[in-house]
Amino acid sequence: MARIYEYQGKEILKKLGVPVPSGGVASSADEARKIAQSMGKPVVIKAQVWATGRAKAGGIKFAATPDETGKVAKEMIGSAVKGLPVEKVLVEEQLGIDREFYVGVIVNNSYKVKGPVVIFSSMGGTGIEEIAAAHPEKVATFNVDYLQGVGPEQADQLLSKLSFDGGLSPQLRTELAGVICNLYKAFKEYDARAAEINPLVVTRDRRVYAADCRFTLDDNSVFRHPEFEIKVPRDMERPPTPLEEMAWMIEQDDYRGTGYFTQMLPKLEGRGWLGFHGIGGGGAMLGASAFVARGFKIANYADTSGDPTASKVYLVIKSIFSQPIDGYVLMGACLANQEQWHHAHAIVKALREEAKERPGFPVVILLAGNKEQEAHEIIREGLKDVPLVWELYGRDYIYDTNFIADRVEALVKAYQEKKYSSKKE
Amino acid sequence: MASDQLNFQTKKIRITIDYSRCEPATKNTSNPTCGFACVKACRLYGRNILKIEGNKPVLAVTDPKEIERLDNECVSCEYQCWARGTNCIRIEIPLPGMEEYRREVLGA
Repeated sequence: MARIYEYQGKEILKKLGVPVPSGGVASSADEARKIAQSMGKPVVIKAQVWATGRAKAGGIKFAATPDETGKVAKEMIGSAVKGLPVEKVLVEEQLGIDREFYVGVIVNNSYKVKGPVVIFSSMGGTGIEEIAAAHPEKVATFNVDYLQGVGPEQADQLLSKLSFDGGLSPQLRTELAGVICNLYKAFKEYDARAAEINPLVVTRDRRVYAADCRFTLDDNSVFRHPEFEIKVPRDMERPPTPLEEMAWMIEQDDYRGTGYFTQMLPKLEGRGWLGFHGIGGGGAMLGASAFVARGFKIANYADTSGDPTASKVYLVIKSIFSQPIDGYVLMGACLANQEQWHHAHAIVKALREEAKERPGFPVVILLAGNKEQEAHEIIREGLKDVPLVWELYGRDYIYDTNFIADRVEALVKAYQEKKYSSKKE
Repeated sequence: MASDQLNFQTKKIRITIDYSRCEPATKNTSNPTCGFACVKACRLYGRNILKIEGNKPVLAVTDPKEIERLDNECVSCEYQCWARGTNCIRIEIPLPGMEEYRREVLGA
């Protein structure tokens, strides 16, 4: 699920008739100051990062004057909130909040539903899961008939299920129903997987606003929304790293098997990073857990399953080796239908190239499955004279993750001792 | 020299066969030491993009769009030529920006 920023979500809401606070997005302190000046009132400055709990992390601050706004924006832009770099801030009018609600539309994947669900809570501001757990009477849901959609009648029925502290006037009821209908329109029109307004607020002067929002789009529909400039359409908590952007090109427009690559952190610092390459989810994930349990730091997660071409596998391996790693491990522990000799050819080509730059580099390959024997012959022949320290295992070891982890540990430790002690000398 | 090379593009890769170093092509023999390993590899691992003609490996499919559609980019011809022949096949699999990135991050 590809995320968009709050300011982008609010642009969608505004377009579809959901009231949002006045304001604008700024990439510099000067821009922020000008926005505040044009509004002529106290503002709130919100860091545009994909994180919840921004206020506690210093990502939401208030300012009374344009100069103060500029000062706050200067501090915020370029800083990190919850480890995420702040490149833009949203400058908005401050709201005098009287009441807070939550409204969201999500896709429920349950086989009983398999469709959009509208959720409304007469309490807002915090996570909907916490509200539902503590006050179930405050949360109501409605499974949407996709062909029928969500109209005023359905929205009204949803609101009727709830108890509202302080009651619900007919006018507010109509306004909230309007927000529900328009949020659903936004959800549908923008191919969202989730569209949430939290909090949906009523101000002291009885106006309704989407004070904050969160949208995630269906990865497969991102191409229909170039206006959001989503570089890597995947569920990520942070913007993609330069290497992830590059590695995305392996998969983009090429549907011949998976060539997935993502980094665990935006920046790898220190030693002990392991380049990790899996084939298929389950066994590979267990392998990753075994390595983490032994103190390794996994630099990346990569997957080449579903019969990818050797060229794709090669590029994934090259992406893994584009990181400052101290070892490479392939966990191809699946007895998959894919012919593993394509992996073998890719491995040989990539590792023969990499060996020139990294003599003695540790490599552990577990490659099992269809055409395993032939694949192993190719790897043994192809790597026989390369200056890597490599070991190759097959189907006898697919349930022996601990053994593989032992071998990785032994090889990487030996490499590190040599590498870092020679640097000291 | 261009005529001494077979150079073609698939969906993501570029393959070059240097005939000036290719044993069957230079010796004009139908029974080279390599046994036409590249063509055999193309049959076993690939999609029969290569064939033997005039004692050298040539394209069995000439329409560029058909090559792009058919080829599974197994990269086996390069490997087999290296292992059994004269290492005269080069396959480039570019990823734009990677070399510059590596220079910056790894100093490589």
